[in-house]
Amino acid sequence: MAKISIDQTKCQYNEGCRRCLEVCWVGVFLMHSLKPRTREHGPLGFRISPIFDSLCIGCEECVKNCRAEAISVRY
Amino acid sequence: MCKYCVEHGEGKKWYLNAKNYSNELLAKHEDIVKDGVEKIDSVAPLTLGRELNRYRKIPIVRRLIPRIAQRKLERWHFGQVLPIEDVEEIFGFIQSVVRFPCACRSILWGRRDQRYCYGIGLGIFPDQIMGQYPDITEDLRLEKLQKDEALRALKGHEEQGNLHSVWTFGMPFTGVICNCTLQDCLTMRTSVVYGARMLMKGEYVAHIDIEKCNGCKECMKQCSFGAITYSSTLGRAKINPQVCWGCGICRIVCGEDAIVLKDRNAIPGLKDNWF
Repeated sequence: MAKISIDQTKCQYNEGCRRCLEVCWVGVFLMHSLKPRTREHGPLGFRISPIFDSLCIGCEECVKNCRAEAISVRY
Repeated sequence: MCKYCVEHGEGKKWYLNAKNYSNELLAKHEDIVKDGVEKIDSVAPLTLGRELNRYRKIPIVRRLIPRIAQRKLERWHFGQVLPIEDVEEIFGFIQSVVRFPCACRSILWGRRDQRYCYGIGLGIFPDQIMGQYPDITEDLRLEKLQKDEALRALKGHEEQGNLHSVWTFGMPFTGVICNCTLQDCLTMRTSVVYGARMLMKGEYVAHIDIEKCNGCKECMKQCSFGAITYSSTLGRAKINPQVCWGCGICRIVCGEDAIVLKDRNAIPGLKDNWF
């Protein structure tokens, strides 16, 4: 099974980059917030994670397309 | 009749029964609704992913995913596809409609401004419950709509290729109408691609009148599920009834009015084909 990791320090999510979400064939990556909503105001804070990594087919499109070279795939 | 219509429909389809939208039922299911609103883009996708990954590793359990998932999700968030006529019928008895950005499109594509979700209900839901969350009311702007305005917008979504589905927060309390394509919907993806059943096929199935069809292939572009294929010998399009979800959005692009919806329950080979 593929092991996908994203280097969150390099990821350009905050600059509006969504390349990995768009190029993945099977939809491994999801963008999710770090904590549940509350009834108070406050930034939610989002992050892109490889949630469905068991579906990865190993095309490495995400590695090729990542501008920040933050994604690595191992088998 | 699907099993939910028998349990909650009182002789009608379950989503056409006004009781399922009632404030008494909401009071009973309030925890589930609030839980859903709070966790929709953080805990929910993570849990779903973790569970699916875990089940996929064990070959015997992999076959049980649909059943396990359906039983769990039924208690939390479950939906069915419906055509625009049934949406119109629902709009006949509900009182308020609010529009907010789609959580699936936010999770799948990272776009937080796609306004395709409609909260519907009898006053208290969705205004008061969802209004308690400032992130939703301000950052995401909960828009109040008139019913006819909302219906027009829904027809617009249909032209873009989005099909309608109606969603529960714990069967049978019903509160949301979604508009999605297969690619844009996390729940449709889990149902179709990963086999975890969250969304049920509609009560209808589309049928092409072979006399009227001129083989223009427009309907093929509209179908999310690839249920329509073309025969070069006949010069006509054909629908695979086993794959059709009965959403009816292929009808609006047909210039010849060749496509009609038929009752799924009246066709013996399809009446148990809900997923």
